[in-house]
Amino acid sequence: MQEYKAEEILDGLRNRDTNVLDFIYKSFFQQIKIFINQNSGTDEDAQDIYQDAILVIYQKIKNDNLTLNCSFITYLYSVCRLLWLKQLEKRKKSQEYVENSEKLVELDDDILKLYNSNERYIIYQVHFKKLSQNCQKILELYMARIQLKEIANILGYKSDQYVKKRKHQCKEKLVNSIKNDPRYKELL
Amino acid sequence: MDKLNQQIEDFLDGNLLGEELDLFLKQKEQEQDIANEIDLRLEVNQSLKDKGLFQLRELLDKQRNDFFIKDPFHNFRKDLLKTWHLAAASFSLILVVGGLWYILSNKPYSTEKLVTKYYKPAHPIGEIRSVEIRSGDALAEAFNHYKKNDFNNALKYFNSLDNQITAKFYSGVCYIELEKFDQAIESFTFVINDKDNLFVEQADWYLGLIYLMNNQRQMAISQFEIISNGDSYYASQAEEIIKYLN
Repeated sequence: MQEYKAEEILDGLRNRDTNVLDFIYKSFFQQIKIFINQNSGTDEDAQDIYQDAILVIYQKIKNDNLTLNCSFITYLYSVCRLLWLKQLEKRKKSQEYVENSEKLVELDDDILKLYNSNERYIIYQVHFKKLSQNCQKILELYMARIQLKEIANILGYKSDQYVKKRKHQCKEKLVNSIKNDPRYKELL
Repeated sequence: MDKLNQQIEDFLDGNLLGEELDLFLKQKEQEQDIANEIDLRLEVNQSLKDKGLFQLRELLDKQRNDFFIKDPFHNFRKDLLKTWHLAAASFSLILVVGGLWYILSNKPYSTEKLVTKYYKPAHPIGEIRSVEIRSGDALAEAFNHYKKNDFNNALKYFNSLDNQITAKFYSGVCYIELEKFDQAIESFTFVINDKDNLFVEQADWYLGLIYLMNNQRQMAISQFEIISNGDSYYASQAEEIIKYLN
């Protein structure tokens, strides 16, 4: 298996490089799993926390151009630990947390905020995927700032006014569907 | 409300101008609900523009499948390396190979044997991970019954979720278990027609198996041909079945 330096890992994550993703998983997941298992979590919990941590790190790379003063595993481990502590709090099990001797790094305050916004983003996108193909297409084109006239041409609509009306209908459908999702209400 | 939403959308699209914009901004300052609505819609727009997060999530799900779910014997293999397990493992292997040889030497397969060989009810999703599972009590309750093989009660909850894809898929499996094949076909067809979900491959596969169970040989062959010609996870198994059926 090819080895990667911390910077290469960050670059690979930014580009969603599957080789890098596999490397991270094969190299570091076991350590995360042991930590979660030692702290009242199951293997599935470990998978969830690992996945959430990677997504948070990805956003951190994209938003803040993250650079590391420590090894990648130390950073990943620190993020996983923070997310798991939050999860234990939610499950009212934080007293079951056992402090560990692993190396940790101080994290920025916005990690939990990023985690929450990621959760919301995923919900939005799940609902988006539930829209009809036509609605998805029209919203995608609209978001890409394509001119109404051109959207009408692409989708075979007669007028740009109809595109506008249809976009409004699709957007309302999406927003209502999100608002009715109990997971969204939970995250508010 | 619809007019206000339209106004918010126009504002976000930069289409509110002049006096109309001033009035709207004043209203926004005075009413927290409007500010919240703008925040939500703005965040939704950002999420639609940013496909990266969702794509990464899909890659991680796939990775999870590859390394974790599809590899339940990961630890078992490690144990096998231990010498004192080797003898027991070899014995088991002889039994398994013997069993397989017995099964394979009894060709041609009856449809019943094929179904027995290939049909397995889908694992409840709670054991995997999905955003869907958190969507509400009904789904969680449905899976509780499903895990206990209480398919009648599981169906009550799955069906209460209307056209939710996860629920629809598992309702199909429940109907198979209850031998209500027409309803199972209806559920899986719904999932397949939706196209854009994680269950399409499995739904296609089950549909083929239902035709087998229901002695609709030609329909089964056509369905397995569709699967084997694609890049489905079940393509090779579908091909095996077609060979047996022909």
